[in-house]
Amino acid sequence: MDFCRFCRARLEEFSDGQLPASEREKVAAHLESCADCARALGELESQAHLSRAALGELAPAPAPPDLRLKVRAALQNETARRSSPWRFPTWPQRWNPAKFAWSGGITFAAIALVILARPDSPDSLAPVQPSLSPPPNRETASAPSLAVAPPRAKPKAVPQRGKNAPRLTAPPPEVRTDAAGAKKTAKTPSTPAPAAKTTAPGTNLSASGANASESEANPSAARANPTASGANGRASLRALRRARTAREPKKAAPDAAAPPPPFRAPVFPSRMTRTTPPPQMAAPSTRPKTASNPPSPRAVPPPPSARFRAQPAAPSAIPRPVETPAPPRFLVALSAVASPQSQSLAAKSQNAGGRAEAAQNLEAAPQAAAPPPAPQALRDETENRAAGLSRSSAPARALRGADAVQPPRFFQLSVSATRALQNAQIRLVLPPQVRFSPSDSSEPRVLWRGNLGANSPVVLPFALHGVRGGEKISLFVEQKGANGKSQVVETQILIVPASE
Amino acid sequence: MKFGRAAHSPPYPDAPDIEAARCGDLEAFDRLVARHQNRVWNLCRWVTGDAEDAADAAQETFVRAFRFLPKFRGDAAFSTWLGHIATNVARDFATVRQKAPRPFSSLQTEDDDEWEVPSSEISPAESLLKAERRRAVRRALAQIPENFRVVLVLYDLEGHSYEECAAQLRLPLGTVKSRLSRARAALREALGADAELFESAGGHPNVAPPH
Repeated sequence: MDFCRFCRARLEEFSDGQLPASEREKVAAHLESCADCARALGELESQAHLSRAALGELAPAPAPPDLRLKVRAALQNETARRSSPWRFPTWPQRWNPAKFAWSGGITFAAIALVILARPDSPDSLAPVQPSLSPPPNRETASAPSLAVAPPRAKPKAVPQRGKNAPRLTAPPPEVRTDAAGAKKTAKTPSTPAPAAKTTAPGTNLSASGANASESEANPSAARANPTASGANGRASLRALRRARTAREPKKAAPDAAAPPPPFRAPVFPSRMTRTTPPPQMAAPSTRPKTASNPPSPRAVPPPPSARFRAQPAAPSAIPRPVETPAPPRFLVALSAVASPQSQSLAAKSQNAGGRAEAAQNLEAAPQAAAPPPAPQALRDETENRAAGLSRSSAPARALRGADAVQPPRFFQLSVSATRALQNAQIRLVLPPQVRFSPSDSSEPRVLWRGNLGANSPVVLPFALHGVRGGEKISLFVEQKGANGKSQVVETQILIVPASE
Repeated sequence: MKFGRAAHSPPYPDAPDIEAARCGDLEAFDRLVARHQNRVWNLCRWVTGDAEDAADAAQETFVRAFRFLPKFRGDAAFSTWLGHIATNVARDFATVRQKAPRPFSSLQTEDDDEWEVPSSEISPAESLLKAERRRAVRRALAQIPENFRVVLVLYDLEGHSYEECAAQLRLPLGTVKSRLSRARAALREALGADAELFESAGGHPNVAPPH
């Protein structure tokens, strides 16, 4: 019986053939004589048999095809985080939660103040606009918002109002559909008399917004916005903008008009492009104002900004700023541009529409810029391949061929999200042999930081050394959360379009 | 295709890539991923019993592997080391899932990813039986505790030895043995009436017919 216990303890190894030879013989000899142990062995073996037979039915499956890609993207992100000196994601010392413990309360108080103080009547919204001088009889109505939004640029506005009072009848649609016209008339509606209270502020808003030429033409209005009001004023401005766009869906003020990003952006695209007002902008002004029609391929397309303005805003983009839990979808397009000059125009292809319109715009941009630049757009592989046009003009090719020492290639990246992202950043991680043009390292680089507006693409120009085409660049869209940590909202792999 | 001991035979192709990946070479690590992804994926799939969790677990496995690669000393095969990580990650996912089960079963969709070359040699009835068996196994595996499942997968499915199982699970050898026998008993119980589906299945070569 003692040996039975010894035997039972080894039955499994015996049945699996893993018992040392000396013990195996003993056990085998015992099993010959002991019926109980033999039965136990039989039981065990049938169990093992069943288990193997059952598990053998589970056929191994090949790993999902995107596993490698996902791992790669995650690792690129990780190595980038490890090697980058900047350390956006964790920010151990600067974003110490304890240090900022009070900021939540302050933020809440500020928000509560803004909400409470925000007047509901649309008339009283007008005085909050900094560059406007509110009519005297409205001063009292907007008293609560005045308490929130500190001093406005009143003195600047007063002389303008006197000057422009007779021209009040200038129709705002001119501004919306005609970019060149906007340049000329931007000053006119910026300071309306009391009678034009609803239309004129809208134009002023858009003038200080994304459109480069307009904000250039009207620098006082553009500058007055950030300087005249502090953070609270900004918040109330945003609220005002929402209210206004709700009332005037035609104008759909782009979120690019949002307050300046909280970070100091190393490359601020709209500022870069603003410095070079494109000469081509004059030509499209002759276009009829039915700009919302889809452009025929041969026709001269309207300037994208004009089209953008004329588009009715998608109703989903307007309403309450309640953060929807649905994750935003991203439209990312990387296109090669022949020279930096073309970026200014292509950067104007900001639009508020969905993917289809973005695709249209991308196609429209190269044609509008037909003479000098020759962008060839290549969609990100996860996105639609609708705009897979690749076109290169002769001058561009000659320029590239002439330079033997591998000149940098210029690209522009357009990123838009279906939902607004506050405190976002766009980061590129390059393969080892590729370098960003101004610097010599292939370090990951944050191309842009700021608030990404809903459906308003940011267009980021950059240049790369050592690209031949086909290289994979990882793109990360990250967002800094409330706890100071960033989370990756989107990763995509961009494939560099081949050079011709 | 069967994974297991054959995976780490002497001509060991991983070594140069491991060295390169240790220095941060993503390309080299990508090759390692390509070589081991099927095994890791299936391990995760069988342990978690859920395709979505398995995908997450497999990704997490490789990310962790890359992170811990400097600590990999090479005294075990890379696949064993990877299997160890995968087992741990998948077990974590499995325990989380056990506490918070999905509202709807993913068993229906799992039939799609079961990879089987349709063969003309198998009659329709046979393939139906095969599908039935597979479903029964999955159902049974989902019922038994996760630490039993891991042992079964490692030993009976992947064909590791006791020692390898013990190394992967960081358990004493005796524990692995006893757990295996209890796991087999649990599996049989979970199979219940479905057990007879497998009676006719081809026996294991070194299993003697029951007395």
